[in-house]
Amino acid sequence: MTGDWATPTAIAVIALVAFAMRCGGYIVINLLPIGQRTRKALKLAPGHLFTAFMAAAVVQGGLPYLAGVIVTVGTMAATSKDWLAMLSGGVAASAIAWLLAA
Amino acid sequence: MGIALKQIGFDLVMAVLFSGLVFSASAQAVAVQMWMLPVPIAAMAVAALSINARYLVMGAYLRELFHDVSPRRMIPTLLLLTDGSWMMAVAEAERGRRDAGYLLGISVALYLGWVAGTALGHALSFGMTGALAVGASFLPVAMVVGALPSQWKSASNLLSWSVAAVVTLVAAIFIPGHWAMILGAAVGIAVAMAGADDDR
Repeated sequence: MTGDWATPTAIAVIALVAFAMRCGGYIVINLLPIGQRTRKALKLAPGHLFTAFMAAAVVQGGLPYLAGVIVTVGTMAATSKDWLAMLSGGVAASAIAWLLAA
Repeated sequence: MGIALKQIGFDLVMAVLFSGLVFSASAQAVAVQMWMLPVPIAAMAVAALSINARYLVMGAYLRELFHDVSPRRMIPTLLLLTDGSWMMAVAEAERGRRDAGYLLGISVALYLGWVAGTALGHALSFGMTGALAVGASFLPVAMVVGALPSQWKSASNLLSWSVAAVVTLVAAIFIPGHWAMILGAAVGIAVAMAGADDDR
């Protein structure tokens, strides 16, 4: 996979986008003030993208991913510890996959 | 991240390069989940743009906060900006300790930890199969899903988030999952914008 052009190209594109976003607001604020509606849409983007991403992942991963998602969200909401939420979600996904295979 | 990258076939150099150049847990996690052959670069770029668009607001805020620091010094600092370093620097400023050097220091520490963690995870992980592989492949999803509670602002999120999820699920029947995800998010944001009068 790492010998082809697509992997470094994808990394470079994602890195450029990330850097452009990091510097963009700082650079353009005086040239092009961000309006209230745009500001609101920008704030809303991550939550909706994360939700859509979660739905797409469950379609792809089935019941194990669904269990993982529920446990991750529940643990994060209850403890606010991201490492514990990730670990619990991974364990739940593994456990359900193991049960389905048994 | 190192474990997840190894699972999709990245070697150590490419994994460290990915974390070192992008340095965005959520954007990287989504990219890993979207990874397939041929690599959907356009969809990944749109997803990375959507996820990192919040930095536009954060960067604009920093311009106002550190108006007396030259762009020549601030722009390299922004290369390493994260949610965590932004929040900590803003919190310090609100306590009367406004310091661009603090923002840089925190960002560098988080950056080194992220890149080193990627390398360590890649080096220590082993070839996984069966249920263990399912758990490992779920980790990038967990990184993104774990960030969801922090995005919850009010009960009105429930409707627009549900719309985003349902549109994604339906669209995934007809179009590739990565584009379905972007469509679902866009419709969800539109619903939230149409129904929201409160300033979130």
